[in-house]
Amino acid sequence: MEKNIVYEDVWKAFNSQPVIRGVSFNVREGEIVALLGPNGSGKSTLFKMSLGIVKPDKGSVLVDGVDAVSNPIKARQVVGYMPEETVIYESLKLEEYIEFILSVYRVKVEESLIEEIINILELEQHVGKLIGELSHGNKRKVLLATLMLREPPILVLDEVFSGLDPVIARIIKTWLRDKTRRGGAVLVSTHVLPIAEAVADRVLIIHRGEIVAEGKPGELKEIFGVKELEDVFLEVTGYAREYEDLIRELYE
Amino acid sequence: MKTRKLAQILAREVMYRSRRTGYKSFSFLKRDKVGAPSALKSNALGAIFFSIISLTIISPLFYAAQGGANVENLFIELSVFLIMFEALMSLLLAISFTSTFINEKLVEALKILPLREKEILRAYVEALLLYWGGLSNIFTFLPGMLLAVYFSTLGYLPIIQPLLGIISGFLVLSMSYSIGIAIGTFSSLVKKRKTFRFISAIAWLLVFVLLYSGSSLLRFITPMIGEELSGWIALIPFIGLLAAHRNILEGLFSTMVSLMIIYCSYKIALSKLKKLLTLEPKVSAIIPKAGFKVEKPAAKLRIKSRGFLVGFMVKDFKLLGREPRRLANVLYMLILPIMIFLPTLISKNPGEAPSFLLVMPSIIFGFFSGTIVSLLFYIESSGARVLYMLPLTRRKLALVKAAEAYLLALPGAAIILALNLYLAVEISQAIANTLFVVLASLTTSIAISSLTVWHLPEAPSDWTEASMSRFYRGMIYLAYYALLMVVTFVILFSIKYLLLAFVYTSIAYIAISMTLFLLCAKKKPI
Repeated sequence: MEKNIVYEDVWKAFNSQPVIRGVSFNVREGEIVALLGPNGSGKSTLFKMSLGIVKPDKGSVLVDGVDAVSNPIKARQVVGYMPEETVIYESLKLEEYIEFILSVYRVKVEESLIEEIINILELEQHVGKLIGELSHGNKRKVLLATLMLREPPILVLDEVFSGLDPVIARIIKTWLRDKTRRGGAVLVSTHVLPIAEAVADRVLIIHRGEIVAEGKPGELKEIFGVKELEDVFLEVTGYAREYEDLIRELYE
Repeated sequence: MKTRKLAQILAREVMYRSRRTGYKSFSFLKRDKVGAPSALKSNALGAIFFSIISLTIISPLFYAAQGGANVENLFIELSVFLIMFEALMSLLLAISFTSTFINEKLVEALKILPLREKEILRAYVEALLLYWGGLSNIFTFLPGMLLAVYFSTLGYLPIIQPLLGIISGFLVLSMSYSIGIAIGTFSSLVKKRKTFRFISAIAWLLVFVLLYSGSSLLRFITPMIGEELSGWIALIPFIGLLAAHRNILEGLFSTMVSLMIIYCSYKIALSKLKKLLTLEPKVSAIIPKAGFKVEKPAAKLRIKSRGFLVGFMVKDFKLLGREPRRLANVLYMLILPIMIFLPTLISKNPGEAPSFLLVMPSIIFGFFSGTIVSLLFYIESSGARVLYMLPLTRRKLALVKAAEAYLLALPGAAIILALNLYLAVEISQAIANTLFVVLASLTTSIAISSLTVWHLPEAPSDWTEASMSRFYRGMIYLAYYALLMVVTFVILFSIKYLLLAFVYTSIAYIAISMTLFLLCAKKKPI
């Protein structure tokens, strides 16, 4: 079975306000797709659907062939999810948290591998400390460590680069590349467009719950006749140059 | 910004953040209500409740005076009890407010504002007193003392006594708030250091035991009416003031010591708070030694490969161990049933205790140990959000939590067995009683656990005492325990042979818990 993610005509509304409007896309095996969009455009809602945390009003979400709506437990086994907000047990030590996650997924890993990943993520100095004492970036690294140890076939990473230094960002990029080389499917979101450009095979731009642009970064730049992905993003999300003048006027 | 406005914002924020800590001020205010809190609403409920308690405690004076007892001594005894209650309530109030303020890092938010330390401190005290129910604690002693003043006008008591009582009440209030604030500032260390956790758990356990034994204390006070109190009582700080009119020198000494204690605790609280509010790090006068700072070596990485059940249990027991208040609550629920029956049971000789007296602890212990399962859900706190992302069904979670509660109850079952082996006429009865404890504990754990997972929030949320409806919990538990009690008593009174009654009761318990398990603990994700 193909390790992929398929969103098919997905609709979702909260309090009668539509947030996702007929979104369809897929992430193929061996591919990294970056989902870009302004705040509140519906990225996190789509990500949560891959685990069945949020159910679509209409449409389907398949992960590794598993229907995330009707079988969320199975979906959670195949998807490695990193939420935008750092959801973690702050009263556990980092090694205790890793141990707990591995026991829930029934994953047995050599202690040497755990040690290696902890060292790669520069967490070795924090062994024995409560997670609540760690910085935001280090908490994100603990979440990453569990994903790297679990090795799920599909990764859904919401704002994965947030709060991480360039060294760790490079490590993640390498890890994601390696993951797709081994047949995994990766869906990421980020507000750092150069990172998206560097890491993604394909880019999707979502605005007000709809996919407004899709393609390889180079292709998109060519279509819109611009040099940077940022310009494509601004163009399709309706950012007008007048705003810049307006801001200048405000302070003059 | 006006201090009052800042105090309102601070109090509202503490109220909102206390969702996570599980603390709640004793007021009519709701945690999630937006807008400025009202000082009246914040204190009214506490004032009414404390007034009732205060008047109830002092009211025996009236009956004692009519019966011709020594009212002066009784007043001292009742006032001691009143003051203890006041001190406990004020301590809890100050600790809960301060620890939420510290643990939720509200101090960091204040530091970046252009405010002077003095303004923040004033706002802090106003928030505690006006909007966290601090003023209502005056009603723990004032109504009682005013009632005593009224008794004085009837000629039962020298007027000086209740007046000294009022002064003593205010002194205790000042001391308790200062000590409470000082203790609260240490709360950030509680999670980090084992010693603090241990001390904190013991202290909370003592508080719970004191709250329970309060009513028993009154029972001991009553026989003391008429006995002469010796002068040494006048030497005790705070309490001595109550007898100062008879022992002026001792009373003066007690007052001086009380004032010193208040001054010291106030200074400690103030310096601790100031330290937290310091805007810039202080420049040390000591010149650091030359050379490199030696980094503390990191702890050795130890990760064991565990199965799901053990892994989950280890995680929960670690969380529980780092939450002294909830740990003390769990221990208290296990100790309380034994505390209730132990004095009566150990006063009996082997073979003397009636069967009924031996069965009751088993039933009560079984029920209580099952109740701790809900506390095992609250320890998840903000970490509960993690569970919404894991491949975990509500049924599985219900089973894990029930198994944890059951494990915690096992030492208690061993104590019941030991007591039964000592007191029961026949060994078979002792074993039957113990088996009953084990069964009642297991079935109650499963039932309560199933009822709790049934009501868990659908969207990722924190799980604390605050996020789960108290009304729902109260009603469900009441209905469940009422059903069990009815079933137990109907079977016990309608079946002559105790062992047979045990078998029937056990079958009924299993049937009830399994029905609840199948109906409420669904195989759907959390």
